[in-house]
Amino acid sequence: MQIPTSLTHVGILWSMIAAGALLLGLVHFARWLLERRARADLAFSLVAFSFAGVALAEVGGMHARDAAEWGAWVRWFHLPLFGLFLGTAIFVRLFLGTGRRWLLWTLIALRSVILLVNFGAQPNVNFSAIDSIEQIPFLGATVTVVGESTPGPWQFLGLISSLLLVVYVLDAAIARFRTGDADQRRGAVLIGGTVFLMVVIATAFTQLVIYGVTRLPFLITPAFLPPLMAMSFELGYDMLRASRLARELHDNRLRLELAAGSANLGLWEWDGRRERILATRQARQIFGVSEEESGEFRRWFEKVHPDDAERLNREISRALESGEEYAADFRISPDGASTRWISVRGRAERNLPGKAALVRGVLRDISDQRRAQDETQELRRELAHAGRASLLGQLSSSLAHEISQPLGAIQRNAEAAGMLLDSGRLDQEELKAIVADILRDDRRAREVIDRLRTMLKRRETEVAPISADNLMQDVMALVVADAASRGVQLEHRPSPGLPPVLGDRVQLTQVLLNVVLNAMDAVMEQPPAKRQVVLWSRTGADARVELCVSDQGPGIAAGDAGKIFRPFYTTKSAGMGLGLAISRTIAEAHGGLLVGENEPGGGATFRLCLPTQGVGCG
Amino acid sequence: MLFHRYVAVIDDDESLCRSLARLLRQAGYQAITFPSAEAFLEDPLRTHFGCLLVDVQLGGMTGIEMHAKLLAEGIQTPAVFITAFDDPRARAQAESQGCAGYFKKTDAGFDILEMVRRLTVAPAAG
Repeated sequence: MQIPTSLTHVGILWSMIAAGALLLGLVHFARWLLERRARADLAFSLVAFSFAGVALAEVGGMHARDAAEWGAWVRWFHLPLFGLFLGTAIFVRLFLGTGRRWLLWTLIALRSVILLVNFGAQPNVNFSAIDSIEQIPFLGATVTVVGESTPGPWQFLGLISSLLLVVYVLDAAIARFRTGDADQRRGAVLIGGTVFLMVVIATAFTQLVIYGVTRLPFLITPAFLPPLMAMSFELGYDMLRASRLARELHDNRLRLELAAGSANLGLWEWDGRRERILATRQARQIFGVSEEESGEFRRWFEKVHPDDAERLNREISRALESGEEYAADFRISPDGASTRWISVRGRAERNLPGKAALVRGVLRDISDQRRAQDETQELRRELAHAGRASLLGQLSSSLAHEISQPLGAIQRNAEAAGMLLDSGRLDQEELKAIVADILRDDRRAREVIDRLRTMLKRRETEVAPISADNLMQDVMALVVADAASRGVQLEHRPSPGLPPVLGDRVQLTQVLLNVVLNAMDAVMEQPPAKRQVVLWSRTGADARVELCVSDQGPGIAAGDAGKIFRPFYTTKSAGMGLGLAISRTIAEAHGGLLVGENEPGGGATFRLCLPTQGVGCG
Repeated sequence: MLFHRYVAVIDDDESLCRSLARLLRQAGYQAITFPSAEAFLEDPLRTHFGCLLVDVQLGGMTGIEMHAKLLAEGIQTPAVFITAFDDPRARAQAESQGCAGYFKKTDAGFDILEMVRRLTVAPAAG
């Protein structure tokens, strides 16, 4: 066997096809080297290299000068043919993801046997004897073909292996076609179809040559070109699809950033493995972090207000440990001078136990919201304060009474003491009694003033547990004089066992005071015997405590039930109609509610329902 | 007229009653205190006072109502009202009934004493 020294143009054509296949094989082999997951590319490169080998062996045969040389070329031809079978079968399994494993192994085993027999036999597996060769014209050139010959006893094995390959590929393609999407179906048709057709044609043709029916060279190369192209096309299409997906991903990311940016949301992501922060432009702007610095967590965290830093750190650490969602509001100083309120919420994700890999989050500047909230709260406080001032205005005469009583007594006692001293009689017992009375009255007056001052002070809301009975005692102290002067029987029935409610003592007193004064107004229309107002409390729904004020008045008029809590709605000649509206606002700010209902037996009961400590305050 | 030395103090505030009584005693009067108008009206000796010092706002019946009742019974004992509220309507009502005087609780005790002196026969001091 000799490498031909001069090629016919058929030889040149075959060599060019082989070179093209080699190049394709190299490209896909290189891709596999870069991305080891692309194993179909490796299988394809085996197919392409083997294909080139087959083409070269065919060229060798076509240029053989005697029967022995031709037989040797056929013998070596089986080596790349083995690769072609193997590569194709493996490619089908890797690319289509289908194909029966046992068929694959049987095919490999059979082709291995053929290879062994081939190299053990003379001149090769296909022939037991090659007696002559012939020169025939082929595609305008003169090529060598086999002349007189005898087929080998094992050559039917090649036929069986071709059948096996066809069955295996068809089965794999049909399975893929049944379950795949549009792209996968096309791949199944293209690869399955070309492999099936070409293997059938090439095998039939080769058998005709072996049995001497036709006098032509082996033509596996042109036959296998369509399947090779189909595989190459599918792989290339796959790569195109991957790059299209990558582009879509990028587009989606840009769209998301645009949407988030226009909603003034900043997105950030902390990669625990690389210890880097990835953030959108909006997030960087919110924090006042430059793009160059934005990778470092420290650059972000140093902007957080020192008072909030620990809380924020704790919250994110908790999310890191548990892999859960987190949310926090905190202050930052983007430029070192101004303060902004930021809300962050997101999720930590762990892919290794105990080690957080990723924290994602959405940032939002909530300074304006925060300011509006503060202003609303301030307004509510002001309104509540105005409401208290107005309530105490209603009580002014009885309060004046309460203060002027001890003051008057103090004055008389002091005058009496003066007269006693002037008279020269040092009645020590009497003087002691006078001083004791003065001190007692002074305390009385001070208590009234303290109560007033507490109610009139502008103050921050202070939420603390307080018992319903204590609240009612506060209210009783304020109105008892007024009730007496109006002839109203005011009664407080204590319920010592109730859990304390949560709230601001002054504001809750204000609500009760408002309700009690309304109740007293209501009973004034009744004959003196029915002028009764009772303060009592009980456990209500949802473990709340209900502070109730019941009166024996005419009740809430049918048309008024929906209106009494509206601002500026009043049934009284004096009064702005703000009392109950403010009271309800206070009740709701405490996570409670204030309702008024008529009693079946006459009169009305107003209930202030408040959360207890265990329930929490909204 | 010995009984003119007796002055009734009618007020529901115990401390106020006691201080006024103390002052009257220092001025040489016999002060008797009553916690309510009803208590005074039930007292058989109610006609035997030289002067009445009455709180307008009492627990039950008001001082002015009590005074009207006494007048209706023909008891002409001069009444001085002492009130915590300077309520013009109450004052007008009291004056129309012919009260002898009208004071606020915070007014000086000496002024009340002076009024009591004028309404009763001046007693000898001590």
